[in-house]
Amino acid sequence: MELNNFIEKCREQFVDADEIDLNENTLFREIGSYDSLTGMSILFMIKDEFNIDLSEEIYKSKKTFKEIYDLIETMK
Amino acid sequence: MDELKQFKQYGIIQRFVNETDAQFILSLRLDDKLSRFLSPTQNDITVQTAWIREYKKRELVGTEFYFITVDEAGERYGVNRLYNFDNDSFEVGSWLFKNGSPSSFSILSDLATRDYGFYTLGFKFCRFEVKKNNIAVLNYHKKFQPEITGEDEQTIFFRLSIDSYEIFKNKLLKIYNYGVK
Repeated sequence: MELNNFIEKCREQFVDADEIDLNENTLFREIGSYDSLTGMSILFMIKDEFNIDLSEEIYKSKKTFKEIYDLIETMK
Repeated sequence: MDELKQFKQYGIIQRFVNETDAQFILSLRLDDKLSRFLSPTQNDITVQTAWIREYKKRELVGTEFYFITVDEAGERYGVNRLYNFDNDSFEVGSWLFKNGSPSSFSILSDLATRDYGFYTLGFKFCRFEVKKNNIAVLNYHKKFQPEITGEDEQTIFFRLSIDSYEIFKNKLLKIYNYGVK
């Protein structure tokens, strides 16, 4: 999966997905609609799409989708 | 639950609500963001306190349990409630967490609360209702694959078996580094 597709998959986890614009450098936790349920949904999307169990502890250390994507690439 | 009326699970402390929590609960229920899917709440601390006083009677006879989630320092983060018990099921609701809570607390509290209903109280099913426009919570609950028991214009009513609950619970606990690896 390419980075842009990954960002799109992440965007779909937001309840206001149709109203937000994300890019690889977006500090996604600063988006108003982001909450713990969004984070949980992103983690399960990663599990479903990549079959990777990313712990919340590691996830919390990443600030942008690019950082998460790069991490996933190293875990494949 | 011991005399302290609290227990620690998944790294959080769950204790029974008491009258001193009235202001905190009122602040949750009056929060613009959190209250979008709630029935209107009267901004009156005496009403909230009186409600808790009546609840404590139900707690005493074991027909309702209202939990507040705190950390080791006693800071309050959110609430959850078990009520409307019938032969084999309980209803869960009143799930509210303040903005800025540690990211895992609301979900771990939901699990700890439902664990109490399933394992401590011995029920086989959990019932809950979610507003159709509360998409984040709806998506969360659907991951447990509950049975839809009904719906009206605004609300969907669900029932979740303990078996289905445990499947997704264990996936969540893996993400949050508790229990099943």
